[in-house]
Amino acid sequence: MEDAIVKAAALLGAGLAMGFGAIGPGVGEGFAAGKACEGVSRRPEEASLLTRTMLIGQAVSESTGIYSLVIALLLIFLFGK
Amino acid sequence: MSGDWLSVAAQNIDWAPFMRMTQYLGAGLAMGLGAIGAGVGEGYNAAATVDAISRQPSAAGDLTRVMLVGQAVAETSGIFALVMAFVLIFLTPVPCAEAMGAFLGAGLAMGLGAVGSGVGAGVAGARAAAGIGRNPRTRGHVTIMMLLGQGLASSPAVFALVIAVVLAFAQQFQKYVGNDPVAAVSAMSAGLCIGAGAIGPGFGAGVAAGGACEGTARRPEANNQLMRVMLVGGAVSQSTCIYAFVIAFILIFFI
Repeated sequence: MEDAIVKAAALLGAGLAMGFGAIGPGVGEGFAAGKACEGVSRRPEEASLLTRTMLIGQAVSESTGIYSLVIALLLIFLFGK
Repeated sequence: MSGDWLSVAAQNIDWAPFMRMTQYLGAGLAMGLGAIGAGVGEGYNAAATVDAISRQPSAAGDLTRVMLVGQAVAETSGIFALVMAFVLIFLTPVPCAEAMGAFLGAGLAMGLGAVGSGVGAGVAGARAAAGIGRNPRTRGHVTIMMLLGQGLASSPAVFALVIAVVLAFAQQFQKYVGNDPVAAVSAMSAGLCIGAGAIGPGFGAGVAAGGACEGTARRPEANNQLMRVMLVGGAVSQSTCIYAFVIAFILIFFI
């Protein structure tokens, strides 16, 4: 059982981690999707290759968002309860 | 609730003036931050439209109409923020420590949450204007693609609005009526989480929609493929916003 102020700080940290951690992946994945659309409009016959590459790139860019999620859940359920 | 000094101190304070303070502060944050995105996005949209008209003056009527439609959609996140600011100003809640956190959280959620969606919808409109300027015959396809993309870009603002409304009206459901300092900070943290978390996905989905609009203008016959790529890519870029939404819900309902 932690002090109230420690629990409050852990919960605030969880919100900060997930909130700001979600900015980067969101912007980055959007750029990937935008460029994939441009690519499909130039060469529609390569649409499946472009979509696959886009999804791989987005998955890598997603990883930091998942780190944020893990840290936020850790802070909430280990130190915030 | 634990019996340490912070929790004990929280019981012995008259929270009424502090609570009014956070209501007005939250309203200011909601409207002040919430106006950034819509303003920048609509200005960017108008700039791209003017640029397109200077290249293709004969399409001026179409371009102006598409600009106004696009700006109206980009405005929605700003209107969400305005509504939230009104709600926070005129609410008459039970004074307590937890309500303070909830109102600050509601203001942060809606204010920050409107930034990305406003800019993103503006980017989509701007790229649509550029595309129509190059190829005015495709305006029907491009407008539909723009509206779909702007809807996708606005969804993070809707998530933020949901959390802000839950936080602002929680007292109607007997939540946030006590003086637990942990619950107060948790409510504020939930608002900050979904607010900041909505910035990136809103902007990213707007960029994806912009690419799809320009692509449709370049090659209207690839319309269906472009729509599929835009929706898949935009949905993946929304995923982090959904994580933030889940964490905000946990912070509100499981603490």
